[in-house]
Amino acid sequence: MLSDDHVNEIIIDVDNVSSGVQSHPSSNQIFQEKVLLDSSINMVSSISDIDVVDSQTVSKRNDQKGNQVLQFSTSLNESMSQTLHSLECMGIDTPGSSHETVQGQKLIASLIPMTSRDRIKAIRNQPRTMEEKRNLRKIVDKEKSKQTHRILQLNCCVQCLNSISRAYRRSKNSLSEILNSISLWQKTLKIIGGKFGTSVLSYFNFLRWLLKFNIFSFIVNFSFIIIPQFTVAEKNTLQFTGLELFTGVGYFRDTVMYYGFYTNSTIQHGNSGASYNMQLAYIFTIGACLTTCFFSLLFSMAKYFRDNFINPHIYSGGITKLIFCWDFTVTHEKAVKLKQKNLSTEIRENLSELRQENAKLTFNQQLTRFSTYVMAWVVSTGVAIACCAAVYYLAEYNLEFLKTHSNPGAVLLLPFVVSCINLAVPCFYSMFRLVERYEMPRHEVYILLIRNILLKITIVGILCYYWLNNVALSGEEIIGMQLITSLGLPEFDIARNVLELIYAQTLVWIGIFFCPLLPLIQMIMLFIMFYTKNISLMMNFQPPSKAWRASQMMTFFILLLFFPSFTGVLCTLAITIWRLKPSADCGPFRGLPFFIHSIYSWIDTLSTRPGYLWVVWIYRNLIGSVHFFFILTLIVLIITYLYWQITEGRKIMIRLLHEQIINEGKDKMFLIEKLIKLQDMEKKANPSSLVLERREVEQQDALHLGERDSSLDLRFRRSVQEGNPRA
Amino acid sequence: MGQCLRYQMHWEDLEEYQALTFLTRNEILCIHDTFLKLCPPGKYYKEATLTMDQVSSLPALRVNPFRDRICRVFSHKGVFSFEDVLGMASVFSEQACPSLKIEYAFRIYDFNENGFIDEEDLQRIILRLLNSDDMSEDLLMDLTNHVLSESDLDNDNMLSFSEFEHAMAKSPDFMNSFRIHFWGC
Repeated sequence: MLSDDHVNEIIIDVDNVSSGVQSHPSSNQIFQEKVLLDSSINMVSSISDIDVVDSQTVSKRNDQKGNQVLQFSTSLNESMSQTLHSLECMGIDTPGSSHETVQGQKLIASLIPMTSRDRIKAIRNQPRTMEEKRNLRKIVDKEKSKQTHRILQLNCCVQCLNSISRAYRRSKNSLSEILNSISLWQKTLKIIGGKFGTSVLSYFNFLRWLLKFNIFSFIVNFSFIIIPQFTVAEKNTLQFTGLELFTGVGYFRDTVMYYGFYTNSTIQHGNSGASYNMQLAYIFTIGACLTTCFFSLLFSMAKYFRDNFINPHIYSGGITKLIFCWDFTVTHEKAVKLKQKNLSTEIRENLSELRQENAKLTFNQQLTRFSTYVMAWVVSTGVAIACCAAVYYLAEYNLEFLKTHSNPGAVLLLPFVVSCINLAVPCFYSMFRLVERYEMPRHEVYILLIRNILLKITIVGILCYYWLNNVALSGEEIIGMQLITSLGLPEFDIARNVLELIYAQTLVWIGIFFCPLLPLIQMIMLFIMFYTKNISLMMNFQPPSKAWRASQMMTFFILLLFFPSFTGVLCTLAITIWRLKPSADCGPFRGLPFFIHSIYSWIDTLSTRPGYLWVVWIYRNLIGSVHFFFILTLIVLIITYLYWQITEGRKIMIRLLHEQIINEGKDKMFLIEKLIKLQDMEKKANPSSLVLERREVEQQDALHLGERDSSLDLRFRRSVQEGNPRA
Repeated sequence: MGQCLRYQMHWEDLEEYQALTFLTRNEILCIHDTFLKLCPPGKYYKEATLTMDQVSSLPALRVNPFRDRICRVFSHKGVFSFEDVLGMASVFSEQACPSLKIEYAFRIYDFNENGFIDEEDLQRIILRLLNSDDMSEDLLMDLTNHVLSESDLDNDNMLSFSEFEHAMAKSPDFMNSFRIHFWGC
């Protein structure tokens, strides 16, 4: 027994359980709580996070320490329950004995002041059984009604508000359920997810997301451009043959599909009807479409970044994620077996990656490896440049060829060649794998993707450049290329398929100015692609063999869609509108020197009307002036810099907190070792009196609780010397 | 298979279940139908119970490597009442909040139920996940050590709930994959 002088009051502070979520309510478990009884009794609360000092120790030693710790904590638990039992016998109402109610009371107290909507959410978030939640709700409602009972005047208002909010909530629920039920392909996607997992599902979700863009563009175009055009349409005199479906030439040339067909006049029905300026409508509608796409892409990209790229370099957690993120949605037995095989491969690859990070190569090996990389890059870039040059010369030759011959099928030559290049060269790139040796197999995939992307972008860029310099624009080639490239390969490689989707969407955006019905065609293509991919998946059952980090890849693809693809389109269109001369005899902009002159002339007409001078002012001083954009850019840069500094500060904070956690763990372990030592010392010194104490504790009534040795080992009367200063 | 007495769910009960769980109306009714098909004949659905084997053999859980742990965590005294099944479906639904999912995932992965995911738990998880017999002891230890070195912040060789939560809370892969569709409709 230790003397009274040394009182070692060990109160171990523990984190608060947030918002009432109770951790591990099973009986054997060790809780983290702050139990502070009256000042007369100080009890050591249970400890959960216990630290082994040296992390480099051999597993045996770890086990021993771990066992020690668990032993200690179980003995702690036993003695604590003993104490509680004994204290109950003494008639003391200890909060520790009913810690459940303490937590419950805290929870109830926190729920009462909440609004009813938040309360429902908070109760739903509780990890408890339905019965407990129901009881909780009843108790809270009773307490709440007790409190509001006093405020009689507001009673009827409160009731009105309650019933209104309840009705609103119910209607919102039913609305969201209706939206869910008409959501496109819901059931098919669930089946696909069940059979093939989330990675394949992400491809189909991406497809559905692109479809939404096209539906929106189509609706806008249809209502503002095509319908007015129909009202002044002329008769179509050309013949219709089946080839037009593939080339888009011929019959379709004089339909709403082509830019050339649109009138440049101001449509007016009757003398008193409102006038509809076709030129302005055309530019503004396409502008509105693209602006909406821009903002929608921007926000989606930001959201994906925020969700997927939080401090990746601080906590990589690669293997942890693999172990704990098993895909529970898979319900097909074959799929589960395949997934297990994939997981095994991926784990082994990851482990070898981690091991090889430490392995050092000799200088010779490094040199050879570096030279193979360089050579591979040179060859691949050379091939890309060669293809681009070929496409450019072919395009020029094609133009002259078309002028002399009028075979409609010849229009298909250019798209055919481009599609062949797109199919053949990536296969060639993947053969590089045999020569290059990468340390991490993941890098292989990334490098391959980057090469493919570069190839596609350069080809599209060359084609755009060619089109911009030759005014004979038409949508034929675009459509032709789309149709042919969409007949893809049978194997379901997610990366290639998503790239195809992005490529097709880029083409649609480029062509939308000259062929307003292009979104409709793309919609049809996406529908067809969905069903063909679905059927091919079901028949072959060839889910991707390479393991796939769905969320990171999706972020990367949306970034691709935004950055080279959409911004490239915007640049091309900007150049078109500002620099190109529209064709003189067809289209809504015929006769103007540049496309943009339609807007200039509109502003000029507005400036003569007194009521619209504010529009003219905005145009001249905000949109048209350089100073405004300069100041705006400056403000945006300053804000970006400030946010960047805040992020850096937060990273430092995270590092400091991590170190603090480690230090606190070490302190706890140190204290526990000390306690165990003292426990042993006591046992050796007084084996008989310990037994006596136990009996005493069980039988006696308490009068002087302060002197009572309430438990075997917990009350150490030593001064706090080396104790944890932070506890 | 016999069917329970065909009691339609009362409207107030449906409202209450909707308020207390994350399931939509259709989902609750579908689960109700499935439950009625499986439970023994002649009993009111609120008093009937399903055994763990019956729940394990639901199409959604039949091939899941952790189905025994799931049944263990969500059942009470070895059987499933209707509300237990609803609770389970609610945690695994798409709309459930991340903290709830993490909480129950921790309980599922804690095989020996001592409040921590220690080395023994990790080894059992890995064996379930890979389901292969050619798993060498070295590889297993190596893997366990790597997991602990990545996620064990205070170096006590076990993952406490906070550490598990920290590792999983920011992972969208976890939220998307910890889902099960229980209803066939």
